[in-house]
Amino acid sequence: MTSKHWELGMETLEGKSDVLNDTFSSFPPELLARIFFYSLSSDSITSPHNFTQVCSRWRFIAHKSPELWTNLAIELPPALKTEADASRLEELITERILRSSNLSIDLQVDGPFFRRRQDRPSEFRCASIRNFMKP
Amino acid sequence: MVTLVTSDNEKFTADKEVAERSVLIKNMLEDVGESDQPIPLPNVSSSVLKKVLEYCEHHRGEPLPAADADTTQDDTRKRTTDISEWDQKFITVDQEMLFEIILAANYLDIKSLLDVGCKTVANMIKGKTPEEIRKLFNIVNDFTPEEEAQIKKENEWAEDR
Repeated sequence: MTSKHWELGMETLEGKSDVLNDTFSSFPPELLARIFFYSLSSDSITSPHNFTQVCSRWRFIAHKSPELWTNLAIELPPALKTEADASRLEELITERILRSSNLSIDLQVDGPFFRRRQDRPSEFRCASIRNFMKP
Repeated sequence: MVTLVTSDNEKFTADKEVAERSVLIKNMLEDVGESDQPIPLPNVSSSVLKKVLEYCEHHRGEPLPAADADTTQDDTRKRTTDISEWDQKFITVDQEMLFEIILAANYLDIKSLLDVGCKTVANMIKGKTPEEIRKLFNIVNDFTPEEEAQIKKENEWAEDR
C-alpha cells in the first residue's frame, strides 16, 4: 500500500474529525493497519472485525488493507438455512476476497459433517489453500 | 558518541551502537561520514527520545531485522502479540506517551520498538466492542446512516450465534 494510494482514498474522509485525541488522530494509515493486523482475533466470516465498526476512518483504512483479509474461516452451520443466507454468505466471501487484493488467502471451512462409523459431528477442515480464487 | 538534538532543542549523547538501532540515524551517520555534527530530530521531543534511547540501550547488540522485512507479510500466519517482560514494563506508559513512542519509532525506523508499540495498542483493542474502543481512545462515532445500516447487517449473523 503506497502513500499515494492512501492519500487518494483519504480525501473522501477529509473534514471528518473522528478521533479527539490529537496524537492518535495523526497516526498514518499504515500504522493503524499494522495495529489492526496485530489485533485480529477471529477470522470467522460471520464475526466482523471490531475495528471496522469504530469510525469511518478506521473502517476505510481496514477495508483498504489487504493483509487484514487473508485468513478466511467459513462456518457453515449458521448459514445456508435459506436462500437469503446463501446469498449473504456469497456476498461476505466475495467482499473478503476482494479486500485481500492480490495476496494469498488461507481458507478454513468448518461444518458439522458426520463421518462414517462416527456418531458425533466432526470438523471438516480445508486449510491453507493458497491463491484461492485468484487469477 | 553521537549527539542528537530534539524538537525542543535538547541535546542527547548516545553510543553510536545504541543510536544506530535507528535505521534513520544509521543512514544519516553514513551520509555525513566521520563528523561530530549533531543530528537534528525535529519530529521527536526530549521526553520521547529519552524513552527511545532507554529502549535502544537495553536492546543494544541484538540482531536487527532485515531491511526489507515486512511484518504483516512475515507474520500473516503467526500474528503473535507476545511482548517480552522487559518491553512490557518499558511500554507501560500513559496513552499519549505510548502514541508518541510509536510515531517516533516509525520516524526513526526502529522496527522492533514499532512492533512493541503497535502490539500494545492492539492488545488494548482485542476483545473490546467498537463502543468500548471509542471510549478508550476518545473516538467519535461518525458513521453515516448508510454505514450504520451496513454495520447492522454485518452483525446479524454474529448476534444469531
